[in-house]
Amino acid sequence: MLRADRVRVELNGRMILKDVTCYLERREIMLIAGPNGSGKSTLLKCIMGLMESKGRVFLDNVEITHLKPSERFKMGITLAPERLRVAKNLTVEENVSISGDFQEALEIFPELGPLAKKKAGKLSGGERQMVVLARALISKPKYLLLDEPFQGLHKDLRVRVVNMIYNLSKKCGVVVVTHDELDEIFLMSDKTCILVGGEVLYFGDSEGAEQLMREMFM
Amino acid sequence: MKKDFAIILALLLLPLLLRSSFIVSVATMAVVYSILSLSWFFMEKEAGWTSLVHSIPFGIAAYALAINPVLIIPAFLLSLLLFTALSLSGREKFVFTSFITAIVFWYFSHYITLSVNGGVVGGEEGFSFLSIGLWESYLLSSSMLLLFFTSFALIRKSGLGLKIEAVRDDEFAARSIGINAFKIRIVSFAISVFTATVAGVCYLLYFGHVSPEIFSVEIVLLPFVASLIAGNRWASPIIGSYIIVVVSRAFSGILPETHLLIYAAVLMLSPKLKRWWGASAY
Repeated sequence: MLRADRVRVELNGRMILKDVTCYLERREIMLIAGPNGSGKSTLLKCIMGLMESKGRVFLDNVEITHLKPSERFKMGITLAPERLRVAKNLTVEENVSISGDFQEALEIFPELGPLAKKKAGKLSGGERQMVVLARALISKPKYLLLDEPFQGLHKDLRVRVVNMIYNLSKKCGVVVVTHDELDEIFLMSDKTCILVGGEVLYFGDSEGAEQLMREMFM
Repeated sequence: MKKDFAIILALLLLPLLLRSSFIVSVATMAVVYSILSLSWFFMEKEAGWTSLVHSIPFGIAAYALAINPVLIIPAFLLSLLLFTALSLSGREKFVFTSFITAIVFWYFSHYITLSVNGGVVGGEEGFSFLSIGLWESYLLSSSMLLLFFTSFALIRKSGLGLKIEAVRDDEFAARSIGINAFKIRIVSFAISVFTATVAGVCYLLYFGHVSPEIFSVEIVLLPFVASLIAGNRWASPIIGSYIIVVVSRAFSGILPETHLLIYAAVLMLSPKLKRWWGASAY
């Protein structure tokens, strides 16, 4: 189980996250929904250890709050960050090779094959997102944190990524923060966490969140 | 990279073919400064940290060797610690804090003295050491330059090189896929500082003397200027160092401070040069 327990973040005197508690089991999908600025991405950063926070994070009942991101990664947590963040001056192949075998990435995204020697900084938004996702996926995480995974992707690829998330949930826990493809992700998710103004408005089984989700986002 | 290697090899072999002591003496100086510039270039291009403090590992190594060769390792570690401490303020501030540190160090280097047999040595005069001779110095420095150049090429192709570049391009993205950015930074600093330390050792073994001038602004700026003169390739800092040394020596009779004119011109044109060479890509 991956559990964030009373996670709190304060920046310049402003509370970004207020005692957020949520968790998911392996082979579950958790959707984190909320309006812009509600702290969704910040929560993922705290779970990955990329941001200073108060509160505690547990992985399979082991407290990992004090661990560095690299140590959390070794324990099986990977974050695919938002805003298409990759190493711009490395080629697609080099970017992916840092995480694992490029051939594995090609099995997930064959489109990356012809782009292997192209610098990531010269890719389109969708191509770059494939690199971000490929880097995260081939690291074989126990828990995968996907921050806006549909950013820059065209419709066909979005459908593939939705299916991929579903297939991934048979092997690992997947946390998804997204504004796109919300219906699909919500329908396949086991848990939903709705954040508003840094506070948890709802956390629990997705079935129980349906009305709230429809009123707020769909 | 192969083309760069060929250029460097040609530069290094030329004085051996000409067999002129004067040419070898100029070339030795150029090679020593080339090692220093290459160490700087590695940190700038590969790791993304623009340093104006490479004079410190360069100078400290020369001083350590002159005072007591056992001090070389502490000198290297001290320089690495200094780089690490300065980097805590971030990439943008590093260039300024490193420059200020280099200047402060230059000032205090005038007060490095030792009491020997009741007398005081060091200070403005510096320290002397046994030079290993012109040809030996040239061969040693050239071998070191080739060794580092080849090592850097290998590092760039290795997993470590990819991690260093990934951290340079986007530290957050690198950390999100498990790269320990701080550790990678220290490793890249260690490689660069070690290279500058070896350059300092070669300097002393050639000149047989070290004085506070080794920490001067001219040495501080040399790798920066040398790397900007000749492009954005791995051979650029080496070609740049050759240009500075050769032009300075060629005009030394007419205008002893020619290199300062080169520095001024390059510094004034640096934003434009960076754009030309595409060095501002990151």
